[in-house]
Amino acid sequence: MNSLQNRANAVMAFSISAIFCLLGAIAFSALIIPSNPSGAVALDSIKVVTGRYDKNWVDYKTRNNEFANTIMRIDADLSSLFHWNTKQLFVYAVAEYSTPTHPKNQIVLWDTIIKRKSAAVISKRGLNNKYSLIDVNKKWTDVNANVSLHWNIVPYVGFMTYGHSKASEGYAFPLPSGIQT
Amino acid sequence: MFEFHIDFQGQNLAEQITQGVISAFGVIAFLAGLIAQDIRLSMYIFAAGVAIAAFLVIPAWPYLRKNPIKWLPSREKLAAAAAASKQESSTSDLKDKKAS
Repeated sequence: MNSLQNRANAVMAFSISAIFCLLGAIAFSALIIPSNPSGAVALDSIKVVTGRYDKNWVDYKTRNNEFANTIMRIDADLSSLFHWNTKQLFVYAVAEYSTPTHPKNQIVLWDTIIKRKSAAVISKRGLNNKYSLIDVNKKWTDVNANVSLHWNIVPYVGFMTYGHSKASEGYAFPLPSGIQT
Repeated sequence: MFEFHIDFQGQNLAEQITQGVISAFGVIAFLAGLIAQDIRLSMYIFAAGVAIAAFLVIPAWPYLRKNPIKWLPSREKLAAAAAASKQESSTSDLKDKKAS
């Protein structure tokens, strides 16, 4: 530490070690902050239509792909999830069902990113699903789904944490009712 | 002119100051951010701590140079001094001989 550069180097190196410890403490402290989020998704209507293409599904080979169009209502209060280490929340509505060939299927009906605590109360009505809903077996017959709201807390530093609401049960998918495209 | 050296006691003091100041500001930053639930506050307080430690330690302040190093005299000077004292003793011997 006898020259200017030496002392500057010593200060910088120690501060990097210290910031590492500070960020570690912040990351671990975020794990023990209590929160009480609540949320619910309900489907008001489900329609199955056939068509060649949909919102984000392009399959010009098959004329009769079965797409499900849902109208949802979502209520959630996620403001208690915003602590000092929360950068944003990724919130998504999931429908879960089982088919004879695949015991567990999950599809995302809708998602959003919430960046501020003031925007964390969600109250949506008449929402269409954001992405095309098409099953891997190409048919929606005999499918009975639960829908629930999931969220993912993206931190500034540390661990990604997940949570979900209770599932609303028993939404049966009807037979195809019309031709879309 | 551009040396900016500090002595050994000063270096010891400088090390203690950087570690103490930065660690203290780290703890204060964590507690303040935890209470205010604002991570930017923590980062600003920590940056202020680093700036204060840098200001106290990097320039060669006089309080870091209070115990200057005592260098031994250079070898040329020692040799010249030895030669001078030898000359003196030899001339004084001659003087004594002449006197006796």
